[in-house]
Amino acid sequence: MKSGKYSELLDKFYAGTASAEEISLLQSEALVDEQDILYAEMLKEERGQKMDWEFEDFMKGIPSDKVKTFPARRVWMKRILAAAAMLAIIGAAYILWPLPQTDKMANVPPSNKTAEPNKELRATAVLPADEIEDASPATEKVKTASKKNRDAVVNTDKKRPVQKSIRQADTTGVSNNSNSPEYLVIVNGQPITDEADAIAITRESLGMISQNLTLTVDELKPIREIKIKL
Amino acid sequence: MDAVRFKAEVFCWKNLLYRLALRLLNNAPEAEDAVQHIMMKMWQKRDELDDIENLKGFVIRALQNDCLNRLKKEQTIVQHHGQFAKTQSLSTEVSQGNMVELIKGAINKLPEKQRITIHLCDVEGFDTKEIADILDIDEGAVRTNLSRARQKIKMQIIKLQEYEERKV
Repeated sequence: MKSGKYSELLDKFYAGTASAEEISLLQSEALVDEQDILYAEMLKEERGQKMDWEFEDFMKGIPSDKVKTFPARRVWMKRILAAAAMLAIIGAAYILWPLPQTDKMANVPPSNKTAEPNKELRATAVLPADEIEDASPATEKVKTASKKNRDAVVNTDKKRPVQKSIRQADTTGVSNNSNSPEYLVIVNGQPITDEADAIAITRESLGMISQNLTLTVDELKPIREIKIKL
Repeated sequence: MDAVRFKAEVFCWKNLLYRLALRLLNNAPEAEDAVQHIMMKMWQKRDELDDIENLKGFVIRALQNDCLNRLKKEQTIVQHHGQFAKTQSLSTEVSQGNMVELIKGAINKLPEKQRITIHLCDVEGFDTKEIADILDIDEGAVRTNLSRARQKIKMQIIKLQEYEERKV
């Protein structure tokens, strides 16, 4: 009973709530000595330590809980731009794409896959003599886009003034052809009078052109793989 | 938990937490930082705090863990030991005036469990059961730690007084 009372008094002493009488009682019972009193002093000082920090300051330091709303991302604008770019590419490809091959071109024999580099082929439409003279000296080299056939040059007697004459030939060609049926095609200055030879040579030349076009198309196919990121 | 309840149930322990952090870290700015950090963490978890049975104990334990983590950091440890060394060097200049400071130094030298126990019991006035809950040890261990800690401090004070008498 007595020890329980002293135990309570000791707790009060260490808690700093014991009165002077209680402390003297503890001292008289030798439960508390000088060191304990010094220790109690230290505890009193310890309890006086406070943190200078108010709740308002704490609340000011807290980042806002509000969810920041950012303006809606303009995804639709990007999509429209991407679609427009795709349309532009498709349109450009449609315009610049070579014309579809005719059945005649498809019938070209496989032996003529590539144009021979140094082979010069002069295919002159059937024209009146004076127009042929205008067209004969100038030849225009038509280069294909293919790397493989970069050397392959098809020389034709086509020239800008000649185009005019071809047009004329188109309009007047029937009558001219009917008037001068001696030759049908001139190849390297030599007129071909045999119809079968003329057709064969014409086919061959057209086959070469179609082959070049086919190669060009093949080379341009990777364009489809191009991806545009916006 | 709204701000008013947070203030009444958590923020009100700031001084207690500060003193405990100061006891553990022995560095006032570091102790303030630890308390602020814990308060911020508690605020972030304020919705979960309602489910905690012993909120006071939970907050004290969180601070204790935070302080121990800080002590693990090399820089803090070096600083900590540096201050101990400083205290020890000062112990040669014992006088009655700074006896209280020397007792504080003696407490800081105690093992961690004893230091926390003596602080929570003698400074903060927690009973053994509360301390046992906070430290997750049984009450008998709390009493043992408390008794040993008080005994050690008493011995330190006696040594200091003897040294003082010899000096005089």
